[in-house]
Amino acid sequence: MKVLMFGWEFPPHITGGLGTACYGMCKGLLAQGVEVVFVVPRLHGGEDASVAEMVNASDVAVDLTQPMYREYFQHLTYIEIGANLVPYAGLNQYLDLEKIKKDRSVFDAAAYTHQKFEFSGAYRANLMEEVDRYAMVAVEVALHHDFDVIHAHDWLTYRAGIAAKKATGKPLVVHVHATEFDRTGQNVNTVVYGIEREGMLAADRIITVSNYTRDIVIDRYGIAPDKVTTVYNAVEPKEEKVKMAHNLRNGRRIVTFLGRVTYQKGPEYFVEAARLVMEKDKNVEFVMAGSGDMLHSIVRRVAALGMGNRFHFTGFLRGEDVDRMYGMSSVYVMPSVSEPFGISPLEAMRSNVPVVISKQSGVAEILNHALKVDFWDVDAMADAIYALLHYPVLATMFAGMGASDAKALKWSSAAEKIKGVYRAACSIA
Amino acid sequence: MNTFSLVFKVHHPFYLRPYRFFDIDSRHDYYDDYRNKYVLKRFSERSYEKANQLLASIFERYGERVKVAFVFSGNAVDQMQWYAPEMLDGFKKLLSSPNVEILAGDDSGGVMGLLHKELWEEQVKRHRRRMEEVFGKCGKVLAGTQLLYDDKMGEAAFALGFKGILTEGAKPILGWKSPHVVYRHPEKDIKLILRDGALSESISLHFAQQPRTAETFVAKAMEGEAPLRGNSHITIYCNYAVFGEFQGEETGIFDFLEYLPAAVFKNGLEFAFPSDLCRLTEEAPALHVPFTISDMDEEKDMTAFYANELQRDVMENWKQACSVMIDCKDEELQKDFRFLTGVEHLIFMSTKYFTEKPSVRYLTPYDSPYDAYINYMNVWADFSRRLEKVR
Repeated sequence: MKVLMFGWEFPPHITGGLGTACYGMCKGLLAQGVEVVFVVPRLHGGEDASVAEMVNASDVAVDLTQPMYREYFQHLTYIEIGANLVPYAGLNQYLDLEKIKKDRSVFDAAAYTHQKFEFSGAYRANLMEEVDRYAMVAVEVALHHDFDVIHAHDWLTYRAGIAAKKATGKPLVVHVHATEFDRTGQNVNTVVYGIEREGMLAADRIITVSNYTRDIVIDRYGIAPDKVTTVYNAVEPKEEKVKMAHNLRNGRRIVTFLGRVTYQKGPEYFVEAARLVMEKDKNVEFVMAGSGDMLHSIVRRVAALGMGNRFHFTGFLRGEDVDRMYGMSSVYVMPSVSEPFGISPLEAMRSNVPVVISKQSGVAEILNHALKVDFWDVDAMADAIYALLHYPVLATMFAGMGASDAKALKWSSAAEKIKGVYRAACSIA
Repeated sequence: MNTFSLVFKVHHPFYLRPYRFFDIDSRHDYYDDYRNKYVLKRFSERSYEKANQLLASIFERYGERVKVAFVFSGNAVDQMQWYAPEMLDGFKKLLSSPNVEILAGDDSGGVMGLLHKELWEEQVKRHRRRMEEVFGKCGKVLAGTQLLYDDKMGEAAFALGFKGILTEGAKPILGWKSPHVVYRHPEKDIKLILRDGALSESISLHFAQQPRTAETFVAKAMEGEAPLRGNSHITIYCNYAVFGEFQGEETGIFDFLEYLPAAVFKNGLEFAFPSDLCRLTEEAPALHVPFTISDMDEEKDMTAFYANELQRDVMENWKQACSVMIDCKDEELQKDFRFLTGVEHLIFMSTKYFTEKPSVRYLTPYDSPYDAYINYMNVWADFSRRLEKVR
């Protein structure tokens, strides 16, 4: 079996969990005997090509005179208005907005004939435009590769998946890692919502990363339940990290938040819980690792509470620094307001760090040895943190058993389920 | 007789290197040596050397009629000793001339005067010892960090034996009163010498936009809002680096300085040291300063460094450390404490709009006040851990 997979990012160049998940999935599928052609907007170099054939969308030439592209031309002119509402766009990127808009020239069809598109491969102001350019490229890629099924990850690639389906007639599977409701609460960007729904309706099968997300897809997007299957994510096993975990703690007790500092991740609840813990125990440090549009207001809040001495900000961490951060942590907290899955607690547990997670997360469905609280219940969150810090039995138990919880989640078994979904999709189509 | 006083500040804060969370507890080198050295070298080349030369030639031409006062921060002396001893020698030579008086300060360019009286006294005494040691002179008039002053500090300065104190002619305090009069503390026998903020800033901030000749500058001073009457003084206080650095050589700032004495004499003024002003025998009117004033921004108050949550948090941390530092005998910790409590660390965290402090603004190494706070608190966390250990 061969899959044409559309992603938006691939390790090592990632801004969120999507890239990491795609990598693990490709590896798992390969082990299941499924070949993957992975298309990303731009290859930076350094991607692991052993798990999938990598196609750089920037390298594909598109003949725009063909009538089937006309549909996407139209989108290019009117969809770009949603530019300043894109997900993952932080404050800094927002500041570039106006400049980019100014610099951009009018889309001229004649000039783009047999044109290779430059994709930035990042979440930027012209994201909507890139989503549609990507769809055009998808057709070319689909026509020049041989495959059985199309697999598109998240709304950014849905249009590409639909275009490839139209061009080849092959079945489409869309994979929902997050919905607009997770990212923005109730204030959804209707353009994004529209694309998401369009993709879900066009798909033959839908994979969601948790039942939590599956419910959203069914309730909020009006999708037939029997079309939607939950396949939980997993983590890549890496044994060597476990060893360093204890060395780095060095007598310090650090409680960590690691993720984008945005509405979705609930950073403000972490701060309030920290305040409550510090009222009882001054000797705890809190770390917020990550950046995002709420960072400045969080910094202000921390300062206003007079906790700056014990509450630190590291900025966005990647690679080794992430492992180091887990290695130094005594407790990991994920207070997400709405988390489709949440891979970071698994990574923490793999490093033997006990975790506190919000009940509004997909990962809460499968973890038994984690303390679960409602994201808004800062008292319960503080209580859980305090307990893990002060009752060593609890911490040891959770660290040990949690690690085995996490290790039980393997990409190989997730891939097996995904393969089943592929088969189902093929049998319909 | 009306007089004219020039007071120059030489100060170099210690910039912090990017100090990551991961460095806490493992590295204790907080300072950006490269930047500190670079800034000092740059200021020396563009400003101090030329200005020193110019002043020396002015002294030669006019003899002891020209008088200039300097105030050095302890940090500036530290940095010159480490990075540019030749610059320090240049200053020593200049200060050996009878044309130059030195003013006392509070050593680190910090805000101890607001936080802890004993520590502040320690720092002032230390500063006095160091000035004696390095330049062989010590001052009878105090010029605190950013000219911070209120009645309590006046009292403390009197207790330390100072005859006068230099501060800002702040509008909120003065109202209709003139900054050109020598005032005194309402209770203690200590004189207050007020800087003419508008005139000083017309050089330090606005010289490039509104160039002046020495002639027009002094003429404006003479016919200012408050006309000079007998025994009035005009006191100009600015950063020495205004000459050549904050106001580039191309603005004509050095020419301005060169012709300033001639213009002063032509208008019937004489130069005076701040200490001369304190010796005046006639009765000085009392000036009550119930809240703290400074030479910063339009407001001339503490809002440039003590306004938002970030700055308040840092200040609170300093306050708590003070009670430990007063008994701390560890030299390294004392040194770091001095370097880390410089007011610049707070100014970098300012979220105030329209802050007119180019000397600080254009030197901030941070992208935002929040970055400044995050970096500073990482350093401070390490420092306070070390402090706890010796406790």
